[in-house]
Amino acid sequence: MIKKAELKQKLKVMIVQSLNLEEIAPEDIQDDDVLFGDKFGLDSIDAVELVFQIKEHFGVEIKNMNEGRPALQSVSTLAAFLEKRMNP
Amino acid sequence: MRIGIAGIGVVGGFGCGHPALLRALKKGSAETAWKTIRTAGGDMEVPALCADTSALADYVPLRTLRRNDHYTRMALLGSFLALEDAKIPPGEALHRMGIIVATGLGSTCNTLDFEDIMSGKNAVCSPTLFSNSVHNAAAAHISIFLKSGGPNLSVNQYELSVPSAFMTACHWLREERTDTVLLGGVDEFSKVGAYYRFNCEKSGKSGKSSPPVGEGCAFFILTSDPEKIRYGYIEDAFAGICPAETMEDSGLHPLMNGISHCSDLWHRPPSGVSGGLCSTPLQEKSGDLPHCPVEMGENTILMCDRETYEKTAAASLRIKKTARKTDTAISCSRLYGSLPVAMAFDIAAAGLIIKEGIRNLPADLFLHSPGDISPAAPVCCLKIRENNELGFVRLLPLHPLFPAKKGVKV
Repeated sequence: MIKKAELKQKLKVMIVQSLNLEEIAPEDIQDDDVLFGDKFGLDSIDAVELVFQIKEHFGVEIKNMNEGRPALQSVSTLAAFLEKRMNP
Repeated sequence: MRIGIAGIGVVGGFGCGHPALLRALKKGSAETAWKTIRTAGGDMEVPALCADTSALADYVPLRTLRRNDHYTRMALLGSFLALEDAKIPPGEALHRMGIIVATGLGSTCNTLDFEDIMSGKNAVCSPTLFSNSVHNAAAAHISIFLKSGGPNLSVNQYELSVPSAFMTACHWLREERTDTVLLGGVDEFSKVGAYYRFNCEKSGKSGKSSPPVGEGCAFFILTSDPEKIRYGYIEDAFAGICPAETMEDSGLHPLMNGISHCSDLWHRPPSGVSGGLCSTPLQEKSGDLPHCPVEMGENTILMCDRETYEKTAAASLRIKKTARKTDTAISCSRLYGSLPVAMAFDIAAAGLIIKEGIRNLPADLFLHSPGDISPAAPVCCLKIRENNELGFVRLLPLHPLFPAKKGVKV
């Protein structure tokens, strides 16, 4: 089983690489930073991209907005969502 | 109205910017890199001339580029370099500037990756990959970044995309639809092309002297303002099909005949001529066109790839004799590699030869016996494909011998 810290780090790398955040390093993302706020400038297209990348990297499907909205708040919420779905 | 080139922006295997192309031109070569491509039979190392777009950070914040792929980034960098070279400041009102992007393959790599995803029956696909998978992505992003309100066009006619784009640009300027046109040719490294080339060379089907697969872009600022033209006038541009029977009417070989008769084709398309954009000529020519000989004589520089040159040389003995003994024929393919929009780089090289008054080039660039280049020589950038398809752009030097008068016969 993947450790939570390791999962969070993997998510940060995935976010930076898949969204091409060229001026942001994975270390710049704090666990509880709001992903879709001013700090990173992400928008709805990035949300769809993240849904795609999560399916590609973790095999977990985010099926609708009810699932996606709370899960995509921060790296912490995303990690918790994935843990739950990967280890039901 | 005389139309000419006011600025050039190039990116390719030779480097970034026209000074890099000029250096490569004087040196006669560019450094080939090796690129790994993934195939069903395992990874493959292929020679390539690839473009580096890191200089784009000098023009726009990197974060604004995060959704742009390599293909679009090359086009953006070429556009910024051309605007800078033409001394058009960023942010200047560009509502009277047209944008034309010519491409042979478009964003093929992305399109193929996207198709991989779709054929894998994935229910979800990357929206970024999808938005970059269309051929007009580069032209659209150039307009967005420059806040241009002028006409925007993507031309996709494989190896004739560039001359076709030049034809359209000249029409726009003549019709005063625009004051300037930002025109560029862009192509990305083709994995499929490299794979094909690798296997051809392995089986001995292609010559070892063939240039590696290349990528990059060459952009131009075209204008009719004589004060701004620095890289030569565009005398003619043509892309289309010239059936043999049409051209043989004048007793000359169809392919070479097309070179001096292009304006006539625009003005009065002969029956059977198809393709291209027949319209008013760039330059009204006198009524003696049917008797106008093929004038690729002593005073013309022919720029083309070896394949095209072999076709012109084999076209007829008369042409062969003329071309091989008196003309200057140059191929710069080794500087930027093999790619469908190669003619855009030929035109950039021709513009530099004209602007810098270059008289000598390395012997390796000549397709036949090397010699001095006449400073007053027109340059014809030519591409001949199968089935009598041909395209060319012909530049005239900025020289007192070529004033802005009608009917200049070289």
